[in-house]
Amino acid sequence: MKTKEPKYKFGKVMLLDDNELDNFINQKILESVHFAKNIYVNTSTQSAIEFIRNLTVAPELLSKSLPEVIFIDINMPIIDGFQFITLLKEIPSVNIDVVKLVILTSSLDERDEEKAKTISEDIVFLRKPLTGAMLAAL
Amino acid sequence: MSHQLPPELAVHLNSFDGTLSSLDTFFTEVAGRLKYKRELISKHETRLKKLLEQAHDGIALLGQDKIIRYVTPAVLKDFGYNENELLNNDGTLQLGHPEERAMLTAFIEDMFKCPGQTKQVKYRVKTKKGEWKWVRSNVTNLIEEPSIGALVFNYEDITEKIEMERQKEIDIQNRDALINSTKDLMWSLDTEMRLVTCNTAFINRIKANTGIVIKRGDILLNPALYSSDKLKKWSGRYKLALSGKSFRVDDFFDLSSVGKWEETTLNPIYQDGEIIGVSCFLRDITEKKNASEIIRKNEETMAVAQSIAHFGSWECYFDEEGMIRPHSLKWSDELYRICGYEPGEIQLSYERYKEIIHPDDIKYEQGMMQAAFNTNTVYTAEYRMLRKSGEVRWIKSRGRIVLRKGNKPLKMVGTAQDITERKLAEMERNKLINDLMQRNSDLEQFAYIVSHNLRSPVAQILGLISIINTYKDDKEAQLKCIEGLQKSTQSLDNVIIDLNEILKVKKQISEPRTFVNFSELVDEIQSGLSTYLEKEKAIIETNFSEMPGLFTLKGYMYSVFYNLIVNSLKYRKRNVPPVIRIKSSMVENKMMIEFTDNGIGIDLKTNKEKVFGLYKRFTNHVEGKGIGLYMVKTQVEALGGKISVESEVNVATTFIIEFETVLDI
Repeated sequence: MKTKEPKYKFGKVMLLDDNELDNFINQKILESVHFAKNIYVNTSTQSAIEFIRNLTVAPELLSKSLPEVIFIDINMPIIDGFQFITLLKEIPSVNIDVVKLVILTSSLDERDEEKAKTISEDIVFLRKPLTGAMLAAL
Repeated sequence: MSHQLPPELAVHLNSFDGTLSSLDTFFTEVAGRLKYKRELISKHETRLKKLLEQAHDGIALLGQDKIIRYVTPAVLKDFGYNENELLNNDGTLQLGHPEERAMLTAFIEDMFKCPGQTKQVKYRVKTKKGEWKWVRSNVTNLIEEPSIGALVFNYEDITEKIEMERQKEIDIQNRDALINSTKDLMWSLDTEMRLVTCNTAFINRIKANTGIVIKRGDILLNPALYSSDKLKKWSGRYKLALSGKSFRVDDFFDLSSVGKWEETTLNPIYQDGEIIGVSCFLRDITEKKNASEIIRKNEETMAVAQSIAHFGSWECYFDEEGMIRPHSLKWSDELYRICGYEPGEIQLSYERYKEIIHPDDIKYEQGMMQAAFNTNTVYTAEYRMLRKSGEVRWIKSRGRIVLRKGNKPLKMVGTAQDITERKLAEMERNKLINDLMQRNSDLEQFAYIVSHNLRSPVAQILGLISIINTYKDDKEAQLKCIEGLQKSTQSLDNVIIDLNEILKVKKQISEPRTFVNFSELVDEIQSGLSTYLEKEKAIIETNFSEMPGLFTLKGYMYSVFYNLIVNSLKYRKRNVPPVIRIKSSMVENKMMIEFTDNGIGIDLKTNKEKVFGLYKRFTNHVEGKGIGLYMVKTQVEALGGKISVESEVNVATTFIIEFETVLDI
């Protein structure tokens, strides 16, 4: 069924991965299933945190632009994905409960999945590559 | 007696004050008045004067009224009185000892009745100081002698003689008491083998054995006293002693269940160079014999035990400063054998001992000894020793300090054991454990690489293929995907190359260990990295003077040095030429190798745990895979060492590696 304006599942989502190729792949797959109208791409934890902090200056900006879903890679230099979640929770005025956190990693290490569960049961743990089926389940 | 003197003389004699000058006057006046006797008196005067002047013995004249009329100067000197205290004093007898006073009074009374006679008397006189002196006086009654008219006491001081006699008596009593109180037998005999003297113990022994009470002059070699074989034995001994020989003999008596040992010493007695008899001294030495027998048996048991257990013992003495006295070292026989020598084969000294210790272990051994000495605790050390043959053996030595008076260490006694077999087994076991740990860590590392680094490009490839399938008509996307596939396969290849690199190093664990010279190792790495080093104008400064190298696996050591140097080059400051300082040292039996750079440093507050983690990186600015320091850590640990890091951001980073050198044979 084709329309002029595709029907998006979400308004805005964020991709956080230090690897640009991964970001390209993930973005393309998100687009192919019309997952979100706006996709914010970040290649470092610092810039992602900075982006969200900047939204908190105005409540209307925050409600308009805060990503509904954040896809987070684990293995990143300096600040990894787990630390990103911690930092995110520390930002005042951001209601983390309205944000769906998705860990997206190439790691097959089960310890990473266990660690994600200890942080929150609500965190979704996905293994690369991202597929349409995975996104449909979100 | 004044009636026997002319009246004039009697008057003058009464006024005589006892001095020589007054005696002169006295005689002069007498001479003047008694002209008819001038000749006679003149003769007396000369004689008496001469007598008195010559006399060393004291002379005193006692008048009939029992008052001293005259004393010679010797008297005053002997007793410490002046003339006034002695002369014309009716308390004369008070100077006599109370015990003899009555006797003396009676004696004097008696003497006055015997004109012209001389008698001897002994008594004590009190000195001015209150002491008593014994004197022996020859008392002569010269009452009828006109010029004297008194008892003349000519005395001699015999205090010392009396004291000596008394002392001699005490000595004799003491000696007799001593001789008779001992259980030991003492006797002497003359050349005719007759008893001369003996103590009570000797008499009692003879009496107990034979019922005979022996006495001086009895023949000793009497069949009534001894059985025939004993007679023969003693006869031989006495004859030998009488021939001039001093000797000692031991006799054993098998008395019921208990053995008894007696020791007799025989010495010839000489007088004027001639043998006049034999002195004999006999004592029971059963306890001494038993004790020395026990000691001998203990020593024998100890020697056998030591030889079976390869167990030696030693001791050494300390001087006042706590240094080991150079020639005080003693070893048990087995310790010589442990060191590959025959007992007593080498002249022991502390210096010689240090030559026997493996040169690499001397510092350690001395450190342990010093520590034990300083803290007065048990000394324990495990070190290598060079046998006579040059063979290296492991020794475990333990010692305890024995204190002298004032709690200062006197000596140390200890044991030493050959633990080579155990030590080798222990090292083999440690090596196996290290190998196993290494292999385990390798597996984990391999799994990690597979799950993360190998998986990542594969996931990309899978993702890219799905995009290619989805965006069939999108030329731009297709091109980008092909580009992506190229990147992914490239990184897949890189990971495979890394894996190969890691596995290549792993193989070396089974290679034999060699002595790795640090300077040569750094030279080798420097030439391999020469282009890199020149480009960065890097300087590597080394100081391996304290510890020039290590017995280890060269491949691992190379990798450790290589990765640490490359790490420092990678994390250099952009505007400063990198300087890397490498230094080796020995700290408390540990080999330390330090790598210090002047790079950007690591913020250890947040990253301490991760420094040596696999694929961990701390910056985006530098191309790195996060594999180098992980490899360094696993390799150092595989070699039995430890690595730690100290760092200050923008100043320097220091990696410190330490090895327990004793583990490396």
